[in-house]
Amino acid sequence: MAKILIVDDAAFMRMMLKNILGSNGHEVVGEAADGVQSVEKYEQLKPDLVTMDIVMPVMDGIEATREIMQSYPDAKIVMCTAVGQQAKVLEAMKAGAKGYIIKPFQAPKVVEEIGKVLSS
Amino acid sequence: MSSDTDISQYLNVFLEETKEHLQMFTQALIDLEEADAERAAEALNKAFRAAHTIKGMAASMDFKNMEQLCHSTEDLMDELRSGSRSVTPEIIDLLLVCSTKLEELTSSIEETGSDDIDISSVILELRSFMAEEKEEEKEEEEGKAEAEAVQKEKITVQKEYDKIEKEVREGRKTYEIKVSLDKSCEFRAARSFLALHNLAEIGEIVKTVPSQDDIEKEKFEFEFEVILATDANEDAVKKALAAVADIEKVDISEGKEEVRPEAGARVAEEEKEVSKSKEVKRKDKGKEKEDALKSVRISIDKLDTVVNFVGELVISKGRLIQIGKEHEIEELSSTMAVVERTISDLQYEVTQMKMIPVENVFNRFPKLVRDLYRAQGKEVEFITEGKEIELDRTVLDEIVDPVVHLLRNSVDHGIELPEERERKGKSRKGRIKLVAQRETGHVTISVEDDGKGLDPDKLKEKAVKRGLKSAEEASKLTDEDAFKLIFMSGFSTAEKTTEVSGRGVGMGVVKTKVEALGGLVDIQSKMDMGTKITLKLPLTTAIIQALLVDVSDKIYAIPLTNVNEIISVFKDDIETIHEAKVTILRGSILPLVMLESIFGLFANPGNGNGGNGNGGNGNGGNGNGNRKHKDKFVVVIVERSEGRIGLVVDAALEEQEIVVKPPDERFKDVTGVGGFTILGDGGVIPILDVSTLTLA
Repeated sequence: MAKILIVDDAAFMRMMLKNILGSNGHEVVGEAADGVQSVEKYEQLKPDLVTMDIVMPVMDGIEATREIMQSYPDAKIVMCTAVGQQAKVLEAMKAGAKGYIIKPFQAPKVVEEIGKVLSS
Repeated sequence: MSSDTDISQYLNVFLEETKEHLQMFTQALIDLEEADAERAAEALNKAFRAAHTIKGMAASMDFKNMEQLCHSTEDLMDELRSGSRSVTPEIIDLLLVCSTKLEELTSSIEETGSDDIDISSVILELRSFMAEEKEEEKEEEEGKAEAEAVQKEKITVQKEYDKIEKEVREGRKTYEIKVSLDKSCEFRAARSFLALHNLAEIGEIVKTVPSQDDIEKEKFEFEFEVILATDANEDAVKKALAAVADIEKVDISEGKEEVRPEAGARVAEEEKEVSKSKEVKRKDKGKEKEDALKSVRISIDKLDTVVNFVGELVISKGRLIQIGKEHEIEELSSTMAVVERTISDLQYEVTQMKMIPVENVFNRFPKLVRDLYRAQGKEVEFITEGKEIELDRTVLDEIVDPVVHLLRNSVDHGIELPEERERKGKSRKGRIKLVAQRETGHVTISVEDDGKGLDPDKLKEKAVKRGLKSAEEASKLTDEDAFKLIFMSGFSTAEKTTEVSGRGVGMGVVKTKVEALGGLVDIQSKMDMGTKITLKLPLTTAIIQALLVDVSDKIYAIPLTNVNEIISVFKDDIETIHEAKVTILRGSILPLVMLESIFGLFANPGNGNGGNGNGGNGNGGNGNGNRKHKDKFVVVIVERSEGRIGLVVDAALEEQEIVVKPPDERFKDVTGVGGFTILGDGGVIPILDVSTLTLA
């Protein structure tokens, strides 16, 4: 069981992800609705893993990933993406993210990805 | 999401947030129009984010239309954001149309739980807006980049080779690692990046195939190779890759001792390969891209549905025209003239969409023919013509087997062995020609060989032996009729069936199949000269031109492809031979079918079979049932594989486009009826299946 921080500007998406993670043995310790919030929450909660939406107001997920990775090089961040975001996803990986999951989320895929990233 | 989660629990949150983001989207667009450059960028980002968020949510809820619309909207806004397209009032208008449509979709979801609203027109508009010239630019840039990459690769080859050598000298191991991604992997570039990133943490990446650059540009399928120099062992390599999802398989082999010459050579070879494959790929890609821009893939099923709808329209059109005429509504009639034109254009276009070049199936045949003649020690030159001729996909699918059979027959039984051909003074090499030709209203496909041809006497003999014809019947057959014997079921011309042509469909099946499509088979042959079999096929099967005829005040439709000509015959010219009606047309015997006697049962049950007896007609048409006193009949001459026959009708009414409806269960086995159609006045009438009409 891992402590997970969910970052997404849509409460709807957070709700879905929380449901999937919760029912697969993970604990969602916090939620953030934009990049700035996510950085703050990360420092505060030190989660085992972060699910990070890419497109968000105030500060996007890639920028937030960079900030978190700068202070916490061992942070494990999984990006939440959608089809058609190839370039953004690659950029996020270069920024230090360790994996990505694709909307609409499929529970087995999400669980596998998070398991892989946690194992690294 | 997991299937056991009830989606409805999310619906309220979904609707609430969607509305919120929609509002944001609309407001941002309005801001965008009025803002200065700096604030414009901000507004644009805001609008983009809103659409993107809605897309993600819609996808999760499986609202496909909403997802698609958001996606297309995003694409357009992406161009605006990147600066490749500037914001114009037209674009804002279009985006606002999208926002209105999204609102409609949201309301629909709220009210009905589904987003089943037609969004095609908006999508189309969005797409037409997206630049084509931009694509071209990109292509050009890519080309340049690729050329540079090749150049760069050449320079790096030497460096890599030096590097491998150095690694080996320094005692590090090199591994060749082949990574295969899962076929379901999305964003292969990102996934591969993660894999390479993890490998780089335990060693040094000497080389990748394709290059890292290409991997990042996703210029590979599902596999890439890595040469890694490392102190770590194989397990460590495996572990590094195990932390990456979507990897299906990893093959690791350790580099050999004498890396130097081999690796050098290999790298050089690879370099050649790479630049070659790039060349090819680039060409393909240019074409592909062009095609992709101009076409969409649609399943045949979908097209068929559209064809059916158009069919319904054609029927309704007929009805409306009828109403206009009956009630003498001038305005309706003039409007219908326009509607009629539009519908016929629509019908033409839809039919056109289902047409594909015969090339699609012709291309398989050269190999088939080659395999056949080589297996038998024959020599054949195989020629195809008219590959570009187009046919309805459904028709084309159906004729593959028949054509294969004809080709097999030509190779097996037509073309002689080289020695035999020489003896006959022919070239050793036989010739088979497969030709597609477009003619008015139909397409013909013929298979012609210059082989031994059919022997009519042998055919007759065989027919008698098989009990298909009596000796007397057989002796009276003309050569042409004798050729047609091969279409009879239970007839096989080959002395013994060979491995290839013995199985599968016989000529009888060829004929049945072609006729089921509304086509016919013709056969021409000359001893030692060759055989030519021609399939005459309708262009399409769903909507056809038909001749409407009146038989005892009932209307029947005869497919126009079958109709040869219409003549008048005086009653005195109708003769009876062996209880069969015939007339003499231009010196040859034309068998007649009294449609009334066949369909009399339908038309007027009271008459029964006896009443409309054949004799009656001959005796001067002295009136049975509705038949007026006549001394002249209308005869529609139709063509069928067995030859021409005349259908005796009361009147030929008009030519009309009809929509073919398959016969329902009750009429499935009625010979002579191939289906039904609905006329403008709502009347259901049978379509005659000329091929199964029995000579009465």
